[in-house]
Amino acid sequence: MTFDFSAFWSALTSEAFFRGACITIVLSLLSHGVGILISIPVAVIVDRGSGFVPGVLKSLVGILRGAPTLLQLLFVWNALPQFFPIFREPWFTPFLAAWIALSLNEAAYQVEINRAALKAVDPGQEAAGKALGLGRFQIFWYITLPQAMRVAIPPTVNEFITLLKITSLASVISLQELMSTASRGVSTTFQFSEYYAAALIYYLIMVYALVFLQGKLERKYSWDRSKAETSNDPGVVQKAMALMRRA
Amino acid sequence: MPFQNRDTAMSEIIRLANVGKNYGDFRVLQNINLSIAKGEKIVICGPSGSGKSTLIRCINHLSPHDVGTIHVNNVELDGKNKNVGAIRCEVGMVFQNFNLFPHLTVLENCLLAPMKVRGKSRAQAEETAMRLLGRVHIAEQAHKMPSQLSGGQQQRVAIARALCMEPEVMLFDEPTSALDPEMVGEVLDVMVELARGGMTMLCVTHEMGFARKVADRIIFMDAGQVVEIATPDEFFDAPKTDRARNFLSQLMH
Repeated sequence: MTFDFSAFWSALTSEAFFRGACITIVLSLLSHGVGILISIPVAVIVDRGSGFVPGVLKSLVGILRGAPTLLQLLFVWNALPQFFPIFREPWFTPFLAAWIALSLNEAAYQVEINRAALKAVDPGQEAAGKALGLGRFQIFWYITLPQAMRVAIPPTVNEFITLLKITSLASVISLQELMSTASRGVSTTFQFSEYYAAALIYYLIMVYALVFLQGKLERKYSWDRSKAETSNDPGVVQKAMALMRRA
Repeated sequence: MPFQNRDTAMSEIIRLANVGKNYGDFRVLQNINLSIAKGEKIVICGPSGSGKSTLIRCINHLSPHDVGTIHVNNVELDGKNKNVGAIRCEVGMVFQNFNLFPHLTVLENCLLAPMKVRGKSRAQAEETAMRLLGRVHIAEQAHKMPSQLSGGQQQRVAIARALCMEPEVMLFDEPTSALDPEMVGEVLDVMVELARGGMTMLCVTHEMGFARKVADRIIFMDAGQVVEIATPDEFFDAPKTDRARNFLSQLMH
């Protein structure tokens, strides 16, 4: 077995890999950010009613969840300019195309996460808000949303991790993200394991950073027994001082 | 206008005229006529499914009525946002399941509506909240999360939270039904104190001891109708209707 460690190291520390990783994370953050922003109102509307607008939104979500992400990327990049001349201008870059496609795709999945999270909030909460005279938007913002967020955090981070890896599909529309950077390196040197290992390290670092962030968010949004117990539990310092006093 | 005689017209705070509500073909409430004076304490009782909770939920429009008119403080509950909002500010409500906001501390639970609805400053709202938390004997728990409190404590916080809006009327929807027996007393004590302070109260409850002690009038409901309205003495000692007699005999067992 040969593993050229120096080739691995130079790939890992190369500007191209770093730039590729940056594109991957920025594309993921932007796509998920827009996806979440779109998905919250859509989830509320879809959940509330059975009229024309919820029906249209439901079928849109169905299409976006049903079509392969690869197809959606290719559609936005290749087919949109066919319909609208405005997308034939030079400002329409692969990055922008990927951002649009992945945002819509992500919004569709996030709608379902949000719907579940909103349903998890006890209807009594809304009744209490109403009884206190709070308006509909105030109830949503101050009461429903924070409680739904707690439920939504784990599946949302899960979704983000999936998205982070799905961005590699954007290599087909010639976006130079992390995976296509690695593939390009491989195609010129045939040092498969070295370049793939370098990409793997980047992906793992990004995913573990996210998992760490998830833990922090979950702690921030926990207000049930686990938090109550830890806050009642005397800290290490207090325990040590109590021992010293006894001694 | 049979429900607005001269004696009560001045101090009348709630008036229901011919109020009805249907769920499909099922008539939850029918032909309810009621006039409640300022400071009056009303206990509503009756078998389950008789429409007691629905009746008080109509008064703050949590369950909108379909037929008839409801006036609170001379404002008609006609479904217009402005009127509904105005009435909800004057009508506090305590729920069977407390419905405290679990993500907010006890104090924050009491601050939210006074600040966002009444537009009070934080300092003003906090002063009122701490005073009222003191009144329900729970001021020392102000910075805890609701989940750290017992059921009885949570319900007392819920009462304080409603009082923080400085309402004219308090609605209680079976406030002790979800509590462990040993905690019922502490909540009832707070309600008795509140009644002595002159609050107008409508309570749906099965606590007949409380009813006897506090109520000015008892409303007995069955099958969506008001069957009997009487003083506690009349109601408990000499109920006029068979249905009330039946209900009371079942309670005694």
